[in-house]
Amino acid sequence: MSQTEQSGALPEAFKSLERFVSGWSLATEDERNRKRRSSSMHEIQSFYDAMLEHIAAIAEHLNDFSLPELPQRERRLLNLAFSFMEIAPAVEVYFSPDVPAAIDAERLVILSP
Amino acid sequence: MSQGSAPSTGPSYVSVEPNISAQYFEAERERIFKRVWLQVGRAETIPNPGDYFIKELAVLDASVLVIRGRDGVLRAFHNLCRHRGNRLVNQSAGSAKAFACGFHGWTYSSEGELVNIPLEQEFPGCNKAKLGLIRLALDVWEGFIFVHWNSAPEQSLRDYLSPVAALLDGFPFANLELSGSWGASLNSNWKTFQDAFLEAYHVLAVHRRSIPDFRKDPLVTGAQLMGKHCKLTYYQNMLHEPKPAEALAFKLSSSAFLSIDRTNELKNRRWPALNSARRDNWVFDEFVIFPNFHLFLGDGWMLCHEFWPTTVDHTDWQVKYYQQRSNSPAVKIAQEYSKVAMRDAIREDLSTIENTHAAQRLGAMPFMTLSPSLESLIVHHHSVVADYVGARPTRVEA
Ligand code: FES
Ligand SMILES: [Fe+2]
Repeated sequence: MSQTEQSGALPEAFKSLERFVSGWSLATEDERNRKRRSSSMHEIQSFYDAMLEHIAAIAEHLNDFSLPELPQRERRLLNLAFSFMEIAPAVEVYFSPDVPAAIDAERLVILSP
Repeated sequence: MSQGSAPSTGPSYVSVEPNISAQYFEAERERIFKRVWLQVGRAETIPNPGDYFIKELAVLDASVLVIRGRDGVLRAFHNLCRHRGNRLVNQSAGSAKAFACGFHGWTYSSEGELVNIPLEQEFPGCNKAKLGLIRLALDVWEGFIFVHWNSAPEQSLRDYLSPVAALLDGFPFANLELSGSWGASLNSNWKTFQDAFLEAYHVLAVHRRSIPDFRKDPLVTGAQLMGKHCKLTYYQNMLHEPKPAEALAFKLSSSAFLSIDRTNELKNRRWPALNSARRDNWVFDEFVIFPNFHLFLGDGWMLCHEFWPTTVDHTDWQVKYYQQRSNSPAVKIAQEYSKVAMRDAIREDLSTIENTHAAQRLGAMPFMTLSPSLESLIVHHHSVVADYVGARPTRVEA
């Protein structure tokens, strides 16, 4: 997906993160986990670094809204933030996209609540 | 109340035979699972009249239909039609005004009464009142739905859950909402699967990556026997240094998993029965409700594990993670951190189970060597199972 297609996808203040929307703004835990496991450590690290800089501001911005009334752009931003939390352990704890020495990911079914 | 030790000298040698014997498993089915209250779900998942879910209980060879009636009462039935026994409901959950069998159309109300027989005149003298759906006993404790194979159990749910129920009566479960739901089917005996969640000794090795600084703090867990049930209390390293995402999660929501929040606000809102030793580095209490339901309670979260045997060598496991109800996006971001951390750690927990079961099946290793302090609850659980089964003792001479 090109830059222009994603333009306006996020609230103005977070424009610099729009390049991540098509890859990482995913609606379910299962999708986010699959994206994490299918990404390289390099891709994960770039996303992590970009998000870390903004994550506190993102939380603050989103807190002007209540969850059931999130506009589209804010919903995308929230899903990006969820993806950040999904990949954070890969960067901070495991130093690898997936959990090493764990049961095979495909054997754990992730059901959406 | 014992902290960290069980009354025993020397290691406990527990036979692996009960984990691999098909005959023993048959006895467990008959003498445990058909004779105790079994937790099958939460009442808030079926809030309205006609709402239902099906619980497949392979260990009983049964499919159980739990329905909320028009009178608001929850009832459990065998999911079968009284005509010739066809499976009545196929959809795993939903809402219905009535339940019509797909074979010949016999139809039941949400209270389980038989309300319609197509061409009823061809069944002369048939008394519909006697052909309602077949009941299992059902009772609810703090929103947890339990069923019993026997429609009139000798022991009430309340008595069965003693002394755990009294400790947690009134706990604010309603403030929690479902946050994550995971499942797996493993080639393992159900008890071997549970054993991985009956001690904190494994944290040192299994969770060496996810909880790396655990070892810096004295490895003490509180183990407490509660009749056939028991409780394990987990503590954390007070010097744990949170990583950036973790730190943010703690800031946005003080209930983040594995956080140690020493604020009085948090301490004051803790349920009095939790952290009975009143230690600052308390993380959570795990209540093990016999036979197969583990209820973890922390600050603002709950984890419910169900271990459902299908055969002696196979277990279907379901776990649900609940966190503080909230409409705040920032809190949801924090909760996502906790959920992912929990899920990743659980995948580490699951990594050893099939190996362990396979090794026990091999027959080369006749017993497990258990620490009387660190692994006292494994000894306890296996001996409660043996008591129910009325089998040979599980402790063996090394
Ligand atoms: S078996 Fe259900 S109507 Fe015949
Ligand atoms: Fe664990």
